[in-house]
This record gives sequence, structure tokens and C-alpha cells, in this order.
Amino acid sequence: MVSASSTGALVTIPAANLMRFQLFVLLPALAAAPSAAAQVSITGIRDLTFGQVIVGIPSSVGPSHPTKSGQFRITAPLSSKVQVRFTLPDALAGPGGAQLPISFGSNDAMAIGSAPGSTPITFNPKATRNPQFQPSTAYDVFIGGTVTPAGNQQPGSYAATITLTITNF
Amino acid sequence: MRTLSIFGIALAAALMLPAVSAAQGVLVAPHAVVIDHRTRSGSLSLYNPGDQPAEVSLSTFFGYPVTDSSGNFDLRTVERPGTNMPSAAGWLEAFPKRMVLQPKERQTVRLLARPPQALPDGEYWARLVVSAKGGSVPVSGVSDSSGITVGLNLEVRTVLPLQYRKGAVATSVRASGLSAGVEGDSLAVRLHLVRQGTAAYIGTVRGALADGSGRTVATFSSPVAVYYDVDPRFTAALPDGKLPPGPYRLRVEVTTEREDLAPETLLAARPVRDSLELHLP
Repeated sequence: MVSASSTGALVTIPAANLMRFQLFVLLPALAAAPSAAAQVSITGIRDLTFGQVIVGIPSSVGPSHPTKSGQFRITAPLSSKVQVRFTLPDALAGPGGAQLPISFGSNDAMAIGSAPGSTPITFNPKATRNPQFQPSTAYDVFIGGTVTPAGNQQPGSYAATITLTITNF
Repeated sequence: MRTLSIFGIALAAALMLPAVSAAQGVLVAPHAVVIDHRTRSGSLSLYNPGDQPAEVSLSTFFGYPVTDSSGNFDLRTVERPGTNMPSAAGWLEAFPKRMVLQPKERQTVRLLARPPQALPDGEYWARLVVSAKGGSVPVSGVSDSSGITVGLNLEVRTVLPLQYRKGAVATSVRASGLSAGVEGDSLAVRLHLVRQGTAAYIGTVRGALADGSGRTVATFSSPVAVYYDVDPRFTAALPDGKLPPGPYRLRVEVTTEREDLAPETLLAARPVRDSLELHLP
């Protein structure tokens, strides 16, 4: 059965071969939130990284990239509903005020619930989503993006922050 | 096929669990706070589940839930709430307001209210923001011959509702404008809800669609928060993604029950029910 809505409710399909994956997602989530029911947590798991960046050539990381995509984990009580919103930078700040543009496409975010049968859904990180934690009580949210270094991009370290906000109503 | 491909990659991502060691974040409980005027205090429990220290800060602002044109809940924030708005944001303080939570460390945060003298009876609202980021700001990435390194750090924020109650407060809700239709593989339901009384209506909307024989074929249950008025949209998955033609009846119930909140924080009110006849071609 498929259960879907534009409000972000988890899409669910029975698929026995997905069980192993769900265990991997569920176990860390349980480890992070072991006790009371009425609690919510949000954790930044992995920074978004781009690896080698070549001047003059755009570099993209997809949300499903196994090591470079940014990863957050959200846990909330069963049946609760939250709003998920990214605050995204337009550019990374570098040496001497230099800027490195970064952009985010409409499929650069992905969410996976912890419930058995959960399957990934991609979404636009610039838009808010209102997932309901039913049947999943944990979501892993991944994000990618594209940096576009100029041909004369100044060498150095470039950094910025991605913020994920969850709002309980 | 695309789903399985994404799944495979995501599985690989899940297997890269060493990355978890860099986690930064915070667990917050409870996720809704009610403070009574008689005690003028409350508390939050914070926990750092990661393996790195987390810088945590707390702040307050005034805002309340509204719905957008699609029926999704959003938060309307008011930077400078007027005297006609029931804001508690200006007279609430958290102790401590900033802290560094070591890995696996817990911290209780006290919330103290200093309301103005002669505060009228009623309910006053604020939003608590719990922000967390890693204790350091590493720049990740590998430089090439150009010497450019690129990294984006993650910061997380949790926004919680806080209600401050003075004296006797009551709530209820008026429902109108029930409508429904099949959209894709779901039943989409819209409802106009207007809060009555002196306090926010925190509850749940449940719906059930029955066919001509009275058999329930689809249901939904969703939490709602009505501070003024909202027009939420709910969806119920249809069996096999569709319904055979015929008459149906949709019943909707709005109650002050919430599975995710402590019952003592909820204000009880009489359930509100509505129904709608549908004929699907």
C-alpha cells in the first residue's frame, strides 16, 4: 500500500528486502533517543562536503551521496507533526572576504523514515515540509548542493553553515 | 528503479556510521511547555546524544501557528508584539541561557517568568528556540592544486510552544467548511477551525470515510493547534490508491486529546463533530 500526501507524510510500501536498511537507520535513532516518549531531538550527523573543488568547474553533491551529503536525524513522539525548514547560504565565506557561490536544487534534499517499509522521498530544501511521525518516529534528512567556483576563485578555505529548524506546533 | 537506486545509496550512507561520531545536536523534553502563574516556573531537559560537545543556546520569541493556502501549518512570528497580543516572550528567561553540553551530558534548564504587575487572567504564548552546533567549526574537504577547501557545517534548532496560564482559562473550537475530494491516491480533507474561549486549542482531528455499506475505507488522525483560526488540510491514504464509484460518508471529530503530549498540559473541551456526504463518480 502507498500512503502519501503533499504534507510530507511518510510513503510506505511493503518490501521485505528493505528490512536490513531500516535496522541500520532505526538502531542509531534508538540509541540517540532511548527514554521518554514526549521528547524531540534533532542532530546534525554529517557535514556537507565537496571534496576536490576545481576552479571554474561547478561541483555537485547529491543528497543520496553516501559520504559527502549532509545528514540530520530528527526524532519525535509517535503521531506528532512538525515543520522542517532549512536555512541555506547563498555563498561560502573565504579568505579576505572572498565568496564562493552555492546553490540548492529542487531535489537536493531527501528524507527517510525509520519505520519498516519506509522509502526515501526527495524534496526541495528551500521549501518547508510538515512530516507527521506516523508510523516513523525518526527521520534521516540528507542534503546536497552545488558550488560554483569562478575561474579566478581565490585559493583558501571556504565555509558556511546550514541550519535545520524543526518547529513543534 | 530510481527508488531502489536511491535506497541502495542511502543504505550505503547508513553504513558509513563512523560519520555519526561527528554528530552535534540536542534532545529536548518535553516538546511543549506549560507554566502556571502560581509557580511562574517550568523546566526543560536537554541531552547531548552525540560524541562531540555541543554549544547550546536558548531564546524566546512570539509566534503562533497559522495555515498556508495549501493547508500546511506554519508559524507566524511577530517581532514586536503589540499590547493586544498575548505575548509572554518578553518576560520569560531561561537559566542557563547558554551552555556547552559534553557528550552524553544532561542539563536541566529552568524557565522563570517575570510577568508584569496586574497581568490580566488568560493564556500568554511564546516560542522557545533551542539552538545547537558543534563546539568547533571544522572546514572539511580536500584541496586541489588551486588550494580551495570547501565545507558546510550543520546547525540545528528546535522551536517549542510555551503557554503561560493565569487564572481560569478555557478553550473550545468551532468547525465549519468541511470539504473533501480524492487527490491522487489519497482523500484530501479541508476544515475551517476557529478557536473559542481564552486559551489555545491543542488537540487532534480524526476522520473516517465509510462506503455505502458503512464500512470504513480510509482514516486519518493529525494533531492541530488552533491559536486563532486555521484551515488545515488532512490526507487519508485510499485502499489500493483509489475508491470504487458510489456514495460515501466522511465523519470528522475534533478533540483535545493528543498522543504526544502529557494530558495534564491539555485543556479539555467537548469534542466537535461534523460529517459530509460524498458521491464519487
